[in-house]
Amino acid sequence: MISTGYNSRQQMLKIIRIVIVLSILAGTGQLLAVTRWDAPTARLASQITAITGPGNAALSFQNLSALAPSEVAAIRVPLETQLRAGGVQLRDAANSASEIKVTLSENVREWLIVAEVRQGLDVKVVIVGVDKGSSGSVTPAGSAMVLRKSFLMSQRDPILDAAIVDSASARSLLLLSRSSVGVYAWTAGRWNLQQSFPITHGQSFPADLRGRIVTAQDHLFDVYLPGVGCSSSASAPLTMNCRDTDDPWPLGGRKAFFNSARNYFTGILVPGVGAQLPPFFSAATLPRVNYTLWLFSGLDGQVRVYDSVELRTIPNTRDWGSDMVSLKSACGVGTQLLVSTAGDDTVADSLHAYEMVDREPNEVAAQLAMDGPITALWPSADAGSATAVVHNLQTGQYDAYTITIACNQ
Amino acid sequence: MRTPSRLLAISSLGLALAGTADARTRPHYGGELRVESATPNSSIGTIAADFVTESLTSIDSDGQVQPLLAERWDSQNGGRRWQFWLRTNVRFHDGKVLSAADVTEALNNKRGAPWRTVRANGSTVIVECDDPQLLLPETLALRQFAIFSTDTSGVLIGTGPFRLTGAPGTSIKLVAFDDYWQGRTYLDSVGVTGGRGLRDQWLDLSVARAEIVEVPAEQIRRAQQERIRTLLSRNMELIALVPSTNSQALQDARMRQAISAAVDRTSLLNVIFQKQGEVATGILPNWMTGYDFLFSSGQNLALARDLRNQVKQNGTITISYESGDSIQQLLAERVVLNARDAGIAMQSGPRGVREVDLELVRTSLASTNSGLALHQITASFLPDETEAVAADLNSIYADERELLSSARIIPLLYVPRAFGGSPRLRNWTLGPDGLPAIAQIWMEDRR
Repeated sequence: MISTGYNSRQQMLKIIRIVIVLSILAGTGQLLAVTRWDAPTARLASQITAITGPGNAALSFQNLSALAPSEVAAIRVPLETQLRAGGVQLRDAANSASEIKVTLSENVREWLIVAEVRQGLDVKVVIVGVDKGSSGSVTPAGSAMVLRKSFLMSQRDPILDAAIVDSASARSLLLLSRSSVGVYAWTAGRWNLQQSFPITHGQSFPADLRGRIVTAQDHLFDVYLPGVGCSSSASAPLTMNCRDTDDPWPLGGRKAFFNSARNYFTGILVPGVGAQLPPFFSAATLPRVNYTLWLFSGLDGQVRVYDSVELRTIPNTRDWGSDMVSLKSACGVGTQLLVSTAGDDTVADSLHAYEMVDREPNEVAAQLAMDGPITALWPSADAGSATAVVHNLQTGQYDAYTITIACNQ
Repeated sequence: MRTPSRLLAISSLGLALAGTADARTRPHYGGELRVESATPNSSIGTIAADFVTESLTSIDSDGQVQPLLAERWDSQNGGRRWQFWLRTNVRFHDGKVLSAADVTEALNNKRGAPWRTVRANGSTVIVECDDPQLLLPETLALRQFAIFSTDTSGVLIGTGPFRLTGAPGTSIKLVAFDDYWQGRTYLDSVGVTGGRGLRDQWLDLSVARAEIVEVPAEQIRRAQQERIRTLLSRNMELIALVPSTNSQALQDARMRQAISAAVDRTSLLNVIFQKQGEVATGILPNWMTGYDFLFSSGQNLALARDLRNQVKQNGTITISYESGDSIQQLLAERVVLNARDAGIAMQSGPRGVREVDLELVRTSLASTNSGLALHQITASFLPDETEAVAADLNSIYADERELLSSARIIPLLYVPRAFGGSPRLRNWTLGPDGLPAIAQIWMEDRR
């Protein structure tokens, strides 16, 4: 007969007993660190000992999951400790009344620790699940110039833009989401939400919603969204007011009108650059001695450059994404072009850095791999860094990063 | 050895088999997406409903409940009373703002609902249940609990990304809903044509008369050979044998167990489905539970003969399959051969000819939540035995174990859903239900 086990009051007492033993072990230095497996293995050990009672048992392990051998050991060692604490003496099968077969498995959500406890013909099964954690990110190898990403924030709701505000006494993060602006303070080694301001708007936003949050001179910040503009108050208490407006967005030292029902700029800049521009997704500026070189990422996938004389298409940019910004650094010519290379929302993206030599792009750093498609890429107020938002394909979260360029690495 | 991790990797959602996106840009707006299906014209309205209506909640691909029309919820009294806070700024296709009264009216009329009453409380909705319903938010994500009304001509009015332009006929046309609360879709419209044979669908795809077509699991290899850009879901379709509760020949559980032990599932998978899918060890797929190693599924003719010899068989057991479905017919014929090898007299025939002992069924998982999925399968095939939805994995395992040991459902295979798509499609993925996530798709301009 096969049945499953459940927690009873007696089991809970056993868990408490095991936890006390673990605490004592930790106090004497025998257990150096608490791992994510300790609580689940304590729960499993409690359920197993509720079936076997004290006495001899044979324990076997198999791993059908993707867990590494080191993780298997990190489960097996505390489980054995906890079983012993519960009065189970681990022996070979010939000298045991019970057989405990532990299998490490997984489903789409959880790692599973499954114990089949056999006593004669009777087999009972207990299953403990542990939510799968997110994996860490990887920083690419360096070259003369290196693109660096610095993690800011992760959340389930799409992040549209972020801005860091440094003052003499505090450091704040402004996070623009689809429905709110969050103001975070850096305390105790992490960003803590201080205030959240809802974004009110009359019409529905486009599906591929884009937006910017920009720090201001006489008040804290302005928010630019399709058909909507918001501004913070100039004095305490901090408030935010939103209004329906088609005011142009800041772009490369000018203002650019954004299509309120779509995901692109209309092509109209204020003041104009001297050429009639087609609609574009993004633009970047590269300073030259006597002029500014403008680059536009068009809706047709073409990248165009305008040098105050002519607007022409840059060849061989088929693998460029539609997001680009210019970034100031102490490296190379002092300003680099940062370009995404996304396919669509189903594939992971990467960032590339270019300098324009004789109006041709020249890649100057190793690409920076991201954990998913880049959904937003905007420059900081001083253009010394950029904010990149990635829709992490592993976790489903939106991760915001600050991107910078370092030299001589 | 087959391991869960390997299976997870193989059956990962939205595995692209051929063709990759080469355009590198933000989404473009515009265009009509043309979808073709073999679904009879009489049923294509059900396809449309997925794009037109929404529920209070949704289930993601990991089986986790997510907010949809309800922004958040809370339970009291041990899961007997639930309160749902509705999202503001949601509009129906006729411009009406979604209210708690609309939700109450829609949910109070649903058949098979696990609640006693639903009532509005200001801008929130209160759901009262007689028994604890620990998975009520997950349950509300089921298609059958979508929130919608109909106009005077019977056209669905929902809150979804597309609105219907008229009552379904041989085809339906859906138009982007400009005021959709999650943002207007990139596509301007979607045309769905039903009753198209597979050959016609694939031909239309090849000459750019359709952008999305069906690829049955048994045809995935062929689609690959024809270089059709194909997306596969996880293994979401269960193929199983369901003994009739009226069958005298199968009243004894040992005869049902004998049939289960006699079937060579691996051959069914390898020969008929050309290894696309997995042997169904349990009633739920392993990517959902992770414990299929606890069940045995290999053919065991010795056990089958032993069990069969313990029971006196009266007459020949009849297995039925969907009339006109050549794959089901093939599957049924192979099951008959396996049964005969175990000394069980069995014959097959199309459904509806006469009373049958065993039905061959092919059904899609109703949810990626394991408790709900098992509950829905049980409710479909054993309606008299449906219990409350199990919320924890130990209880789900116990329920599944009980169903398998009594062989009241005999799982055979799990196979993926698959679709072929035009090279112009971008952001083309399958949703948690294994169907194309059309609200996210955009189309590359014609070259």
